Amino acid sequence: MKDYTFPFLILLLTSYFFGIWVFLPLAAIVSLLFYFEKKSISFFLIFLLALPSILFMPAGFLGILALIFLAEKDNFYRVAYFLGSLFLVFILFPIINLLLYTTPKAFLDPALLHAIGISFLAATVATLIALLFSLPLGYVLARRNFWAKGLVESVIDIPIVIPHTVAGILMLLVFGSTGLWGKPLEEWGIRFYYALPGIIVAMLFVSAPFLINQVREGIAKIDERYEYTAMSLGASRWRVFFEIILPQIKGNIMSGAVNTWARAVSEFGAVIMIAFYPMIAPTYIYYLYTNYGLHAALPATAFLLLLTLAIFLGIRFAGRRMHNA
Amino acid sequence: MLEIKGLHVSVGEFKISVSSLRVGDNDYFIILGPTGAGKTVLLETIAGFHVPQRGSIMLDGEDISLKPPHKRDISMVYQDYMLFPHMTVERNIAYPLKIKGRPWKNEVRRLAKLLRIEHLLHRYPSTLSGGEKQRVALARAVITHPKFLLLDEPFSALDPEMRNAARILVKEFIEDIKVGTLHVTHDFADAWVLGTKIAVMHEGQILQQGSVEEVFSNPKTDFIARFLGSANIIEGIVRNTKNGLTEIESNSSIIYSVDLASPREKVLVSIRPEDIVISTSPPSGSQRNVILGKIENMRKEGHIVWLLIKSGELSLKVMLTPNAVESLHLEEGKKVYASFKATATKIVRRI
Ligand SMILES: Nc1ncnc2c1ncn2[C@@H]1O[C@H](COP(=O)(O)OP(=O)(O)OP(=O)(O)O)[C@@H](O)[C@H]1O
Ligand SMILES: [Mg+2]
Repeated sequence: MKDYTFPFLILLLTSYFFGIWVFLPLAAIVSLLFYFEKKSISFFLIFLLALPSILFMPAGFLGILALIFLAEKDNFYRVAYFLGSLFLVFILFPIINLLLYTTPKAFLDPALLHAIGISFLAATVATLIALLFSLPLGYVLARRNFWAKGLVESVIDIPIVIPHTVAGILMLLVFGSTGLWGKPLEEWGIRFYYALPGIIVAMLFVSAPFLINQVREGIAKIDERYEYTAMSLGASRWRVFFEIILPQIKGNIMSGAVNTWARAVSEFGAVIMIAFYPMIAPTYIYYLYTNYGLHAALPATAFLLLLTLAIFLGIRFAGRRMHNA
Repeated sequence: MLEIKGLHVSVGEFKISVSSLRVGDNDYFIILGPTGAGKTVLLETIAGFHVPQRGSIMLDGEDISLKPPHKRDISMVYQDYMLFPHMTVERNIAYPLKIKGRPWKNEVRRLAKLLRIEHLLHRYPSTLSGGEKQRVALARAVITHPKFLLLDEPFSALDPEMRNAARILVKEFIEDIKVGTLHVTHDFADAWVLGTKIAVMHEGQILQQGSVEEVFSNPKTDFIARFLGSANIIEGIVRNTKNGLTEIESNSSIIYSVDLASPREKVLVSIRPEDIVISTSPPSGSQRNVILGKIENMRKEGHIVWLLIKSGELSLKVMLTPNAVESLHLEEGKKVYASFKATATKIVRRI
């Protein structure tokens, strides 16, 4: 039998913050579910008796505490459940709150759809470039020991720890129209400043570390003697990499790529430094907010949130199925 | 034929130097050594995973010491087999043939049948037992008929009861496919059952090599004697068998065993030193084997005393307590009776 206590609590507590009209029916449903799960009539009765007190919101909170007390016997877990669910509410409540502003209008905003298109395209290209470089880099870091290895590994993490606007300035300075690489490349016809390549390099810079670290960890976990064995069976190093290593780190590559893509798609600070136009989705929302106010930005924001969640959950689900298969 | 000359290899702090080692195409060569002796490193060097500082590794007359591993045509099997977890058993075994772009279906089936793993072909390695993994690894290692086979403690992952069956299977299989084999281990039984030649390795060096009997009965150094010390290994010829007793002649002495063998068969016999009883007058017990000999050597080691008893060409290591030595007034040069049961006399190998 699966234990539903904790998810029920999260649900109940979240609904509590939406006020009595959401909370009451949900509380009734959850208490019924509790009842069916634990098969304890006393628990159900106590909850029914506590219902009137829920009419007053502060008392409702006490009702939830009573629920935790009844559903869980272990004091340590009672405290952990309470504090844990409180934090999840901190994440979930604002999300659900925003989603209530979703209107079909957002689907019809061509500027938003265009911005989302740019976001996804740039993030996907950045992820593919990151993949190309993370495989050799991860391999070297996993297999060889060399002088100042710790330092090299910290270099990879630098983009994660510096402020995003700083990362943006770094990119602008190098890839900008007067930048050391940007200038000659612009003469060759590849423009970064206020252009798609600029968005891609900014995203690549801040997001590649996730993929590199995942690939390195994945390779490090594979016993080097698999490679030796394959070589003794006649496989060249290239073959070994593609036929023995790569299939075994599929999971790492997948989750690293998802993290990298998610990080890239959510990047804002670094991107606007080098390319405010063409607008990516976060830039567009910022633009709506600063020019037309909060309420103008809400439908687009809700739509973007919904889309991101759908993709995130979809990938998670697919990843789990792949893992189980 | 594999021939090593003046080989020096270092990995990290550890050094190996092998002045000469020669393994013929019909040899099953066993290197015995304690843990950390450098056995695995030696095999890895032969396979090409470590570059030697000096020396040569010749395979069929060609120096391969600088060839990349995948071009050496030497298959290596690690002690935990290293089956590729993302491939089925069938794809594991077929892998070397697929690399060469050769047809594999029939050959995989033939080997699987020979090794009795046909029913496992569709499974993934994580679902196999140790013994099954070992046979899969063996099939995969020999499917392309490599010029040479390296086995790193192939039985250490099996439980003791399965080991003997596995040894016999490997012995018959290797004899069948005929490939020169170098097998490293710290298990003497591997050497007795499988080795046509053996060597002892310690701290990166080969201390002694020769036939099983030569090395076990004439250890050249104290270390070898101590390392191999736990058994008497005697080579003999079966005279006849009657009433369930096998009569073996060895160095002009006769030894009886309850293990079965056929007349004129050459056998290797092991007798554990603690199974031998020493007395100063003819023993009255039920022991079938009684040998009159002279105490050649006596050495105390902790709470036990080691005797070396010689009777003509036959020598026996015997383990006694200091009490027994004292009450029997044993000393070097004294004549004693060494007796042991026919059930304590194990035929470990038929040659
Ligand atoms: N790649 C390596 N780098 C540094 N030292 C190594 C390496 N491989 C092995 N060694 C060292 O070499 C020594 C010999 O190791 P090796 O694995 O060859 O021993 P072994 O005889 O196979 O022992 P065992 O019976 O335990 O397998 C050990 O001290 C080990 O720590
Ligand atoms: Mg080893």
